[in-house]
Amino acid sequence: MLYRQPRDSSHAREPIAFASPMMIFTPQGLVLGAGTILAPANGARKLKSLKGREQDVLALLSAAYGRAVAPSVLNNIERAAKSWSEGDDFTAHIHLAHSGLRALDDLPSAAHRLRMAKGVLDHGGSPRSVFEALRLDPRYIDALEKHYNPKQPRVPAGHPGGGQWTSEDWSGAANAPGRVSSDATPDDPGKAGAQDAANEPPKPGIGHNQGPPLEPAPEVPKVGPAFNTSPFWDFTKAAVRWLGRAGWKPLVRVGIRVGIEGTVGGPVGDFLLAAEAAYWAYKAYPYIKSYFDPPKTLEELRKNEKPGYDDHHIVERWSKKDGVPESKIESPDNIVPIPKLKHWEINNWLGKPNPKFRDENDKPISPRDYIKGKTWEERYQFGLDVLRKFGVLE
Amino acid sequence: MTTDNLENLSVNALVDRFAAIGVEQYKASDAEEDERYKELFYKMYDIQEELKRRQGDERRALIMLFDYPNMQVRLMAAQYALAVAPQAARRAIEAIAASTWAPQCYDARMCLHMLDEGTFVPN
Repeated sequence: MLYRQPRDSSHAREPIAFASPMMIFTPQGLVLGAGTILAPANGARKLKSLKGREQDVLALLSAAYGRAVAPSVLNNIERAAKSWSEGDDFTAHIHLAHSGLRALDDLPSAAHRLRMAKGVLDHGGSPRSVFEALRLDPRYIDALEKHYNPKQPRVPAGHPGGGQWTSEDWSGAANAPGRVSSDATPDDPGKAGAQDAANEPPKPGIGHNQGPPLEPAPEVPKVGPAFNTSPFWDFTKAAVRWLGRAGWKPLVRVGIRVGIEGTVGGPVGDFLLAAEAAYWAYKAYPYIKSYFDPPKTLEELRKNEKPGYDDHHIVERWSKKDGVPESKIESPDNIVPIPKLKHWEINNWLGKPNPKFRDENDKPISPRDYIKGKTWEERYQFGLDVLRKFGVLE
Repeated sequence: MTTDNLENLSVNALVDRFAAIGVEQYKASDAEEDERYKELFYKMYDIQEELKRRQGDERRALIMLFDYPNMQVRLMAAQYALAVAPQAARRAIEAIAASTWAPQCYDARMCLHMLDEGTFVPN
Protein backbone atom coordinates (compact mmCIF):
# COMPACT_ATOMS: atom_id res chain seq x y z
CA MET A 1 0.00 0.00 0.00
CA LEU A 2 1.24 3.42 -0.87
CA TYR A 3 0.66 4.86 2.54
CA ARG A 4 2.63 2.09 4.18
CA GLN A 5 5.82 2.65 2.29
CA PRO A 6 8.70 3.69 4.51
CA ARG A 7 9.49 7.37 4.55
CA ASP A 8 13.03 6.75 3.49
CA SER A 9 13.20 8.50 0.16
CA SER A 10 15.13 11.68 -0.21
CA HIS A 11 11.86 13.45 -0.85
CA ALA A 12 10.41 12.30 2.43
CA ARG A 13 13.35 13.82 4.24
CA GLU A 14 13.30 17.13 2.44
CA PRO A 15 12.44 20.03 4.69
CA ILE A 16 8.98 21.37 4.04
CA ALA A 17 9.38 24.89 2.71
CA PHE A 18 5.68 25.59 2.75
CA ALA A 19 2.43 23.77 2.38
CA SER A 20 -0.32 24.57 -0.04
CA PRO A 21 -3.70 22.84 -0.16
CA MET A 22 -4.08 23.91 -3.78
CA MET A 23 -1.96 23.87 -6.91
CA ILE A 24 0.21 26.95 -7.11
CA PHE A 25 2.93 28.19 -9.39
CA THR A 26 6.35 28.72 -7.88
CA PRO A 27 9.76 29.35 -9.42
CA GLN A 28 10.25 25.60 -9.19
CA GLY A 29 7.09 24.81 -11.12
CA LEU A 30 3.55 23.77 -10.34
CA VAL A 31 3.45 22.72 -6.72
CA LEU A 32 0.96 21.07 -4.40
CA GLY A 33 1.00 19.94 -0.80
CA ALA A 34 4.30 20.11 1.06
CA GLY A 35 6.25 21.56 -1.83
CA THR A 36 5.82 18.57 -4.14
CA ILE A 37 6.48 19.57 -7.72
CA LEU A 38 3.74 18.29 -10.03
CA ALA A 39 5.29 19.81 -13.13
CA PRO A 40 8.73 21.42 -12.99
CA ALA A 41 9.69 24.76 -14.43
CA ASN A 42 12.56 24.96 -16.84
CA GLY A 43 13.00 28.67 -16.86
CA ALA A 44 11.51 31.80 -15.41
CA ARG A 45 7.74 31.39 -15.55
CA LYS A 46 8.11 28.54 -18.00
CA LEU A 47 6.58 25.18 -17.18
CA LYS A 48 7.95 22.02 -18.74
CA SER A 49 5.50 20.45 -21.12
CA LEU A 50 3.21 17.82 -19.68
CA LYS A 51 3.48 15.86 -22.91
CA GLY A 52 4.57 12.35 -22.10
CA ARG A 53 4.10 12.96 -18.40
CA GLU A 54 0.32 13.17 -18.30
CA GLN A 55 -0.04 9.97 -16.32
CA ASP A 56 2.57 11.08 -13.81
CA VAL A 57 0.71 14.30 -13.14
CA LEU A 58 -2.61 12.49 -12.87
CA ALA A 59 -1.06 9.91 -10.57
CA LEU A 60 0.28 12.63 -8.32
CA LEU A 61 -3.01 14.50 -8.25
CA SER A 62 -4.92 11.28 -7.62
CA ALA A 63 -2.57 10.49 -4.76
CA ALA A 64 -3.10 13.91 -3.24
CA TYR A 65 -6.87 13.79 -3.56
CA GLY A 66 -7.14 10.08 -2.80
CA ARG A 67 -9.33 9.45 -5.82
CA ALA A 68 -9.30 9.43 -9.60
CA VAL A 69 -8.72 12.87 -11.02
CA ALA A 70 -10.20 13.76 -14.37
CA PRO A 71 -7.68 14.07 -17.21
CA SER A 72 -9.42 17.28 -18.20
CA VAL A 73 -7.41 18.84 -15.37
CA LEU A 74 -4.41 18.72 -17.68
CA ASN A 75 -6.13 21.19 -19.98
CA ASN A 76 -6.67 23.56 -17.08
CA ILE A 77 -3.04 23.27 -16.09
CA GLU A 78 -1.97 23.99 -19.65
CA ARG A 79 -4.08 27.12 -19.80
CA ALA A 80 -2.92 28.22 -16.38
CA ALA A 81 0.71 27.67 -17.38
CA LYS A 82 0.19 29.80 -20.45
CA SER A 83 -1.24 32.66 -18.39
CA TRP A 84 1.52 32.23 -15.83
CA SER A 85 4.15 32.39 -18.56
CA GLU A 86 2.60 35.68 -19.67
CA GLY A 87 2.83 37.08 -16.17
CA ASP A 88 -0.91 36.97 -15.62
CA ASP A 89 -1.15 35.27 -12.23
CA PHE A 90 -4.75 36.27 -11.84
CA THR A 91 -5.96 34.43 -14.93
CA ALA A 92 -3.65 31.52 -14.12
CA HIS A 93 -5.40 31.25 -10.80
CA ILE A 94 -8.78 31.23 -12.49
CA HIS A 95 -7.73 28.42 -14.81
CA LEU A 96 -6.54 26.37 -11.85
CA ALA A 97 -9.85 27.08 -10.14
CA HIS A 98 -11.56 25.85 -13.27
CA SER A 99 -10.01 22.43 -12.74
CA GLY A 100 -12.60 21.81 -10.06
CA LEU A 101 -9.90 20.57 -7.70
CA ARG A 102 -10.61 22.21 -4.43
CA ALA A 103 -8.40 22.70 -1.43
CA LEU A 104 -7.10 19.45 0.02
CA ASP A 105 -9.23 18.53 3.00
CA ASP A 106 -6.60 16.89 5.17
CA LEU A 107 -3.43 18.63 4.10
CA PRO A 108 -0.88 16.66 6.19
CA SER A 109 -2.19 13.29 5.01
CA ALA A 110 -2.66 14.42 1.44
CA ALA A 111 0.79 15.99 1.34
CA HIS A 112 2.30 12.79 2.69
CA ARG A 113 0.54 10.63 0.09
CA LEU A 114 1.67 13.01 -2.59
CA ARG A 115 5.31 12.92 -1.53
CA MET A 116 5.24 9.14 -1.38
CA ALA A 117 3.79 8.97 -4.87
CA LYS A 118 6.42 11.40 -6.13
CA GLY A 119 9.11 9.24 -4.56
CA VAL A 120 7.74 6.18 -6.35
CA LEU A 121 7.75 7.93 -9.72
CA ASP A 122 11.16 9.53 -9.26
CA HIS A 123 12.65 6.14 -8.49
CA GLY A 124 11.36 4.53 -11.64
CA GLY A 125 7.97 3.39 -10.43
CA SER A 126 5.09 3.57 -12.85
CA PRO A 127 1.99 5.69 -12.57
CA ARG A 128 0.09 2.39 -12.61
CA SER A 129 1.72 1.38 -9.33
CA VAL A 130 0.50 4.61 -7.81
CA PHE A 131 -3.00 4.20 -9.23
CA GLU A 132 -3.14 0.63 -8.00
CA ALA A 133 -1.96 1.61 -4.56
CA LEU A 134 -4.81 4.07 -4.50
CA ARG A 135 -7.17 1.24 -5.53
CA LEU A 136 -8.51 3.19 -8.45
CA ASP A 137 -10.81 1.58 -10.99
CA PRO A 138 -8.66 -0.59 -13.32
CA ARG A 139 -10.69 0.65 -16.27
CA TYR A 140 -9.56 4.19 -15.50
CA ILE A 141 -5.93 3.07 -15.36
CA ASP A 142 -6.17 1.04 -18.56
CA ALA A 143 -7.81 3.87 -20.43
CA LEU A 144 -5.21 6.33 -19.27
CA GLU A 145 -2.36 4.11 -20.38
CA LYS A 146 -3.97 3.58 -23.74
CA HIS A 147 -4.62 7.24 -24.26
CA TYR A 148 -1.27 8.54 -23.13
CA ASN A 149 0.96 6.03 -24.88
CA PRO A 150 2.90 4.49 -22.02
CA LYS A 151 5.38 2.83 -24.37
CA GLN A 152 7.11 6.09 -24.90
CA PRO A 153 10.68 5.76 -23.51
CA ARG A 154 11.23 6.79 -19.93
CA VAL A 155 14.36 8.08 -18.26
CA PRO A 156 15.90 5.26 -16.23
CA ALA A 157 15.83 5.35 -12.47
CA GLY A 158 18.87 7.00 -10.92
CA HIS A 159 19.10 9.63 -13.60
CA PRO A 160 17.77 13.17 -13.34
CA GLY A 161 14.09 13.01 -14.07
CA GLY A 162 14.17 9.25 -13.60
CA GLY A 163 10.90 7.50 -14.28
CA GLN A 164 9.62 10.28 -16.48
CA TRP A 165 8.81 10.27 -20.11
CA THR A 166 10.54 12.67 -22.46
CA SER A 167 9.61 16.27 -22.12
CA GLU A 168 9.85 19.47 -24.03
CA ASP A 169 9.55 23.13 -23.33
CA TRP A 170 6.08 24.39 -22.67
CA SER A 171 6.61 27.63 -24.55
CA GLY A 172 3.15 28.76 -23.70
CA ALA A 173 1.26 26.69 -26.24
CA ALA A 174 -2.13 25.73 -24.91
CA ASN A 175 -3.31 23.44 -27.69
CA ALA A 176 -0.44 21.20 -28.60
CA PRO A 177 -1.37 18.19 -30.75
CA GLY A 178 -2.61 15.19 -28.90
CA ARG A 179 -3.94 17.12 -25.98
CA VAL A 180 -7.13 16.14 -24.29
CA SER A 181 -10.24 17.55 -25.77
CA SER A 182 -13.06 19.26 -24.03
CA ASP A 183 -15.72 16.83 -25.25
CA ALA A 184 -17.12 14.69 -22.52
CA THR A 185 -17.61 10.97 -22.93
CA PRO A 186 -17.41 8.61 -20.02
CA ASP A 187 -15.49 5.99 -21.97
CA ASP A 188 -12.54 8.11 -22.85
CA PRO A 189 -10.55 9.41 -19.91
CA GLY A 190 -8.77 11.77 -22.22
CA LYS A 191 -11.90 13.77 -22.51
CA ALA A 192 -13.34 16.02 -19.90
CA GLY A 193 -16.28 14.60 -18.08
CA ALA A 194 -15.01 11.04 -17.87
CA GLN A 195 -14.04 11.54 -14.29
CA ASP A 196 -15.54 14.91 -13.62
CA ALA A 197 -17.79 13.38 -11.04
CA ALA A 198 -14.68 12.33 -9.17
CA ASN A 199 -13.67 15.97 -9.02
CA GLU A 200 -16.95 17.07 -7.55
CA PRO A 201 -15.83 18.19 -4.14
CA PRO A 202 -17.92 18.22 -1.04
CA LYS A 203 -19.68 21.51 -0.62
CA PRO A 204 -17.43 23.45 1.73
CA GLY A 205 -18.80 25.40 4.59
CA ILE A 206 -18.64 29.08 4.02
CA GLY A 207 -18.12 31.83 6.47
CA HIS A 208 -14.56 30.77 7.21
CA ASN A 209 -12.07 33.58 7.73
CA GLN A 210 -13.32 33.63 11.35
CA GLY A 211 -16.06 35.95 10.29
CA PRO A 212 -19.80 35.96 9.98
CA PRO A 213 -21.46 33.81 7.35
CA LEU A 214 -20.46 34.80 3.87
CA GLU A 215 -23.12 36.47 1.78
CA PRO A 216 -23.97 35.05 -1.64
CA ALA A 217 -21.49 35.99 -4.34
CA PRO A 218 -22.31 39.01 -6.48
CA GLU A 219 -24.27 38.05 -9.54
CA VAL A 220 -22.24 38.18 -12.73
CA PRO A 221 -24.52 39.44 -15.51
CA LYS A 222 -24.05 37.57 -18.77
CA VAL A 223 -24.44 40.83 -20.64
CA GLY A 224 -22.27 43.16 -18.71
CA PRO A 225 -22.53 46.87 -18.06
CA ALA A 226 -20.46 49.19 -20.18
CA PHE A 227 -16.97 49.90 -18.93
CA ASN A 228 -16.58 52.80 -16.52
CA THR A 229 -20.28 53.11 -15.77
CA SER A 230 -21.79 53.04 -12.29
CA PRO A 231 -23.10 49.48 -12.71
CA PHE A 232 -19.65 48.37 -13.85
CA TRP A 233 -18.00 49.83 -10.76
CA ASP A 234 -20.77 48.55 -8.51
CA PHE A 235 -20.03 45.05 -9.73
CA THR A 236 -16.28 45.47 -9.41
CA LYS A 237 -16.49 46.85 -5.90
CA ALA A 238 -18.88 44.13 -4.82
CA ALA A 239 -16.56 41.53 -6.33
CA VAL A 240 -13.47 42.62 -4.41
CA ARG A 241 -15.43 43.05 -1.21
CA TRP A 242 -16.90 39.60 -1.50
CA LEU A 243 -13.65 37.91 -2.53
CA GLY A 244 -11.85 39.57 0.35
CA ARG A 245 -14.50 38.50 2.82
CA ALA A 246 -14.24 34.98 1.48
CA GLY A 247 -10.57 35.09 2.38
CA TRP A 248 -9.43 34.83 -1.21
CA LYS A 249 -6.06 36.10 -2.25
CA PRO A 250 -4.34 35.78 -5.58
CA LEU A 251 -0.85 34.36 -5.73
CA VAL A 252 1.36 36.26 -3.37
CA ARG A 253 5.07 36.15 -3.85
CA VAL A 254 7.24 36.64 -0.80
CA GLY A 255 10.88 36.26 -1.74
CA ILE A 256 11.34 32.78 -3.13
CA ARG A 257 8.33 31.56 -1.24
CA VAL A 258 5.03 31.63 -2.99
CA GLY A 259 1.95 31.14 -0.93
CA ILE A 260 -1.72 31.23 -1.62
CA GLU A 261 -4.61 31.51 0.71
CA GLY A 262 -8.29 31.01 0.33
CA THR A 263 -10.00 28.40 -1.75
CA VAL A 264 -10.08 27.85 -5.45
CA GLY A 265 -13.20 25.79 -5.15
CA GLY A 266 -16.46 26.33 -3.35
CA PRO A 267 -18.28 29.59 -3.85
CA VAL A 268 -15.08 31.46 -4.67
CA GLY A 269 -14.22 29.09 -7.48
CA ASP A 270 -17.79 29.24 -8.74
CA PHE A 271 -17.70 33.02 -8.75
CA LEU A 272 -14.36 33.19 -10.54
CA LEU A 273 -15.65 30.78 -13.15
CA ALA A 274 -18.76 32.84 -13.67
CA ALA A 275 -16.62 35.95 -14.05
CA GLU A 276 -14.40 34.13 -16.52
CA ALA A 277 -17.40 33.00 -18.53
CA ALA A 278 -18.73 36.55 -18.74
CA TYR A 279 -16.19 37.96 -21.11
CA TRP A 280 -17.01 41.56 -20.29
CA ALA A 281 -15.77 41.00 -16.74
CA TYR A 282 -12.21 40.85 -18.02
CA LYS A 283 -12.26 44.63 -17.99
CA ALA A 284 -12.76 44.51 -14.25
CA TYR A 285 -9.76 42.24 -13.66
CA PRO A 286 -7.04 44.93 -13.44
CA TYR A 287 -9.03 46.62 -10.70
CA ILE A 288 -9.79 43.41 -8.86
CA LYS A 289 -6.21 42.29 -9.18
CA SER A 290 -4.70 45.55 -7.94
CA TYR A 291 -7.02 45.58 -4.94
CA PHE A 292 -5.32 42.43 -3.71
CA ASP A 293 -1.80 43.78 -4.14
CA PRO A 294 0.39 43.12 -1.12
CA PRO A 295 1.53 46.19 0.81
CA LYS A 296 4.35 47.99 -0.96
CA THR A 297 6.90 50.66 -0.15
CA LEU A 298 6.31 54.19 -1.41
CA GLU A 299 8.96 53.60 -4.05
CA GLU A 300 7.22 50.45 -5.23
CA LEU A 301 3.82 52.12 -5.21
CA ARG A 302 5.17 54.89 -7.43
CA LYS A 303 5.88 52.26 -10.07
CA ASN A 304 2.18 51.33 -10.25
CA GLU A 305 0.74 52.01 -13.67
CA LYS A 306 -2.79 52.29 -14.94
CA PRO A 307 -5.14 50.59 -15.34
CA GLY A 308 -5.99 49.53 -11.84
CA TYR A 309 -4.42 52.45 -10.00
CA ASP A 310 -5.39 56.01 -9.12
CA ASP A 311 -3.23 58.89 -7.97
CA HIS A 312 -3.83 59.30 -4.27
CA HIS A 313 -2.97 62.43 -2.32
CA ILE A 314 -1.55 61.46 1.06
CA VAL A 315 -2.68 64.87 2.34
CA GLU A 316 -6.02 65.24 0.60
CA ARG A 317 -6.65 67.89 -2.01
CA TRP A 318 -9.42 69.58 -0.08
CA SER A 319 -6.78 70.61 2.47
CA LYS A 320 -5.99 73.67 0.35
CA LYS A 321 -9.29 75.05 1.59
CA ASP A 322 -7.95 74.46 5.08
CA GLY A 323 -4.87 76.59 4.59
CA VAL A 324 -2.43 73.99 3.26
CA PRO A 325 -0.36 75.37 0.36
CA GLU A 326 -1.33 73.84 -2.99
CA SER A 327 2.36 73.46 -3.86
CA LYS A 328 2.72 70.97 -1.02
CA ILE A 329 -0.47 69.12 -1.85
CA GLU A 330 0.50 68.72 -5.49
CA SER A 331 4.15 67.91 -4.80
CA PRO A 332 5.36 64.49 -6.03
CA ASP A 333 6.08 63.42 -2.47
CA ASN A 334 2.40 63.75 -1.64
CA ILE A 335 1.05 61.80 -4.62
CA VAL A 336 1.20 58.06 -4.93
CA PRO A 337 -0.61 55.67 -7.29
CA ILE A 338 -2.60 53.15 -5.26
CA PRO A 339 -5.16 50.50 -6.21
CA LYS A 340 -8.22 52.32 -7.48
CA LEU A 341 -10.71 50.43 -5.37
CA LYS A 342 -8.60 50.91 -2.23
CA HIS A 343 -8.50 54.59 -3.09
CA TRP A 344 -12.28 54.67 -3.10
CA GLU A 345 -12.48 52.62 0.07
CA ILE A 346 -10.16 55.04 1.89
CA ASN A 347 -12.13 58.05 0.65
CA ASN A 348 -15.31 56.44 1.87
CA TRP A 349 -13.85 55.71 5.29
CA LEU A 350 -12.44 59.23 5.66
CA GLY A 351 -15.87 60.76 5.16
CA LYS A 352 -17.89 58.69 7.59
CA PRO A 353 -18.44 59.49 11.26
CA ASN A 354 -16.36 57.22 13.43
CA PRO A 355 -16.36 56.55 17.19
CA LYS A 356 -12.60 57.04 17.39
CA PHE A 357 -12.65 60.62 16.17
CA ARG A 358 -14.34 63.21 18.40
CA ASP A 359 -15.01 66.92 18.27
CA GLU A 360 -14.59 69.35 21.16
CA ASN A 361 -17.95 68.21 22.53
CA ASP A 362 -16.84 64.57 22.45
CA LYS A 363 -19.26 63.77 19.67
CA PRO A 364 -18.05 61.42 16.91
CA ILE A 365 -16.95 63.03 13.68
CA SER A 366 -15.34 61.77 10.50
CA PRO A 367 -11.57 61.31 10.18
CA ARG A 368 -11.67 64.03 7.52
CA ASP A 369 -13.21 66.48 9.99
CA TYR A 370 -10.78 65.35 12.66
CA ILE A 371 -7.74 66.19 10.57
CA LYS A 372 -8.91 69.75 9.87
CA GLY A 373 -6.63 72.38 11.33
CA LYS A 374 -3.75 69.96 11.87
CA THR A 375 -0.19 70.70 10.75
CA TRP A 376 1.22 69.43 7.46
CA GLU A 377 3.33 66.88 9.33
CA GLU A 378 0.35 65.58 11.29
CA ARG A 379 -1.75 65.31 8.15
CA TYR A 380 1.02 63.58 6.22
CA GLN A 381 1.69 61.09 9.01
CA PHE A 382 -2.02 60.42 9.33
CA GLY A 383 -2.24 59.80 5.58
CA LEU A 384 0.62 57.31 5.76
CA ASP A 385 -0.99 55.55 8.74
CA VAL A 386 -4.23 55.17 6.80
CA LEU A 387 -2.40 53.71 3.80
CA ARG A 388 -0.68 51.21 6.08
CA LYS A 389 -3.83 50.13 7.87
CA PHE A 390 -5.64 49.69 4.58
CA GLY A 391 -2.91 47.33 3.45
CA VAL A 392 -1.53 49.60 0.74
CA LEU A 393 1.74 50.74 2.29
CA GLU A 394 4.28 48.52 3.98
CA MET B 1 -36.71 51.98 13.98
CA THR B 2 -36.79 54.90 16.36
CA THR B 3 -34.47 56.19 19.01
CA ASP B 4 -37.28 57.92 20.88
CA ASN B 5 -37.79 57.07 24.53
CA LEU B 6 -34.61 55.08 24.83
CA GLU B 7 -34.72 55.59 28.57
CA ASN B 8 -37.79 53.38 28.72
CA LEU B 9 -36.09 50.42 27.10
CA SER B 10 -34.41 47.59 28.98
CA VAL B 11 -30.71 46.95 28.50
CA ASN B 12 -31.48 43.88 26.42
CA ALA B 13 -33.84 45.84 24.23
CA LEU B 14 -31.18 48.51 23.74
CA VAL B 15 -28.63 45.87 22.78
CA ASP B 16 -31.09 44.35 20.31
CA ARG B 17 -31.70 47.73 18.78
CA PHE B 18 -27.98 48.41 18.65
CA ALA B 19 -27.50 45.19 16.68
CA ALA B 20 -30.38 45.91 14.32
CA ILE B 21 -28.97 49.33 13.55
CA GLY B 22 -25.54 47.80 13.01
CA VAL B 23 -26.95 45.44 10.40
CA GLU B 24 -28.54 48.38 8.59
CA GLN B 25 -25.26 50.29 8.82
CA TYR B 26 -23.50 47.36 7.19
CA LYS B 27 -25.95 47.42 4.29
CA ALA B 28 -25.73 51.18 3.93
CA SER B 29 -21.95 51.01 3.96
CA ASP B 30 -21.82 48.36 1.24
CA ALA B 31 -24.34 50.30 -0.82
CA GLU B 32 -22.37 53.52 -0.24
CA GLU B 33 -25.49 55.24 1.04
CA ASP B 34 -23.57 57.83 2.99
CA GLU B 35 -26.46 59.86 4.37
CA ARG B 36 -28.27 56.72 5.47
CA TYR B 37 -25.10 55.48 7.13
CA LYS B 38 -24.64 58.77 8.96
CA GLU B 39 -28.21 58.74 10.21
CA LEU B 40 -27.81 55.16 11.47
CA PHE B 41 -24.45 55.96 13.00
CA TYR B 42 -25.89 58.65 15.25
CA LYS B 43 -28.85 56.47 16.17
CA MET B 44 -26.41 53.86 17.36
CA TYR B 45 -24.40 56.51 19.16
CA ASP B 46 -27.52 57.57 21.06
CA ILE B 47 -28.09 53.99 22.17
CA GLN B 48 -24.59 53.57 23.49
CA GLU B 49 -24.94 56.92 25.27
CA GLU B 50 -28.10 55.61 26.92
CA LEU B 51 -26.29 52.42 27.97
CA LYS B 52 -23.42 54.51 29.28
CA ARG B 53 -25.83 56.64 31.28
CA ARG B 54 -27.31 53.64 33.07
CA GLN B 55 -26.01 52.85 36.54
CA GLY B 56 -22.74 50.95 36.37
CA ASP B 57 -22.33 51.79 32.69
CA GLU B 58 -24.29 49.13 30.87
CA ARG B 59 -22.15 49.33 27.74
CA ARG B 60 -20.62 46.11 29.06
CA ALA B 61 -23.78 44.43 27.78
CA LEU B 62 -22.42 45.02 24.29
CA ILE B 63 -19.99 42.19 24.96
CA MET B 64 -22.76 39.82 23.96
CA LEU B 65 -22.49 41.20 20.43
CA PHE B 66 -18.81 40.37 19.97
CA ASP B 67 -19.75 37.16 18.16
CA TYR B 68 -22.75 38.58 16.35
CA PRO B 69 -23.08 37.25 12.80
CA ASN B 70 -22.46 40.66 11.26
CA MET B 71 -19.04 42.27 11.17
CA GLN B 72 -20.24 45.85 11.52
CA VAL B 73 -22.19 44.97 14.65
CA ARG B 74 -19.16 43.24 16.13
CA LEU B 75 -16.88 46.15 15.33
CA MET B 76 -19.12 48.89 16.67
CA ALA B 77 -20.00 46.91 19.81
CA ALA B 78 -16.34 46.31 20.53
CA GLN B 79 -15.35 49.93 19.99
CA TYR B 80 -18.09 51.26 22.23
CA ALA B 81 -17.30 48.65 24.89
CA LEU B 82 -13.61 49.47 25.04
CA ALA B 83 -14.05 51.82 27.99
CA VAL B 84 -15.77 49.23 30.17
CA ALA B 85 -14.34 45.91 28.96
CA PRO B 86 -10.99 46.88 27.46
CA GLN B 87 -9.42 43.45 27.24
CA ALA B 88 -12.38 41.58 25.77
CA ALA B 89 -13.17 44.45 23.43
CA ARG B 90 -9.59 44.68 22.24
CA ARG B 91 -9.51 40.96 21.54
CA ALA B 92 -12.67 41.31 19.47
CA ILE B 93 -11.17 44.21 17.53
CA GLU B 94 -7.93 42.30 17.02
CA ALA B 95 -9.88 39.40 15.53
CA ILE B 96 -11.61 41.73 13.09
CA ALA B 97 -8.32 43.42 12.24
CA ALA B 98 -6.76 40.05 11.50
CA SER B 99 -9.56 39.15 9.12
CA THR B 100 -9.96 40.22 5.51
CA TRP B 101 -13.51 41.42 6.03
CA ALA B 102 -13.48 44.87 4.43
CA PRO B 103 -14.03 47.61 5.25
CA GLN B 104 -14.41 46.62 8.89
CA CYS B 105 -10.95 45.04 9.07
CA TYR B 106 -9.31 48.32 8.03
CA ASP B 107 -11.22 50.34 10.59
CA ALA B 108 -10.29 47.80 13.25
CA ARG B 109 -6.61 48.15 12.31
CA MET B 110 -6.87 51.92 12.61
CA CYS B 111 -8.56 51.48 15.98
CA LEU B 112 -5.71 49.34 17.34
CA HIS B 113 -3.15 51.78 15.97
CA MET B 114 -4.86 54.75 17.60
CA LEU B 115 -5.25 52.92 20.90
CA ASP B 116 -1.58 52.03 20.91
CA GLU B 117 -0.40 55.50 20.06
CA GLY B 118 -2.86 57.08 22.49
CA THR B 119 -4.81 59.17 20.00
CA PHE B 120 -7.95 57.22 20.82
CA VAL B 121 -8.73 57.05 24.52
CA PRO B 122 -12.08 55.32 25.04
CA ASN B 123 -14.28 56.98 27.64
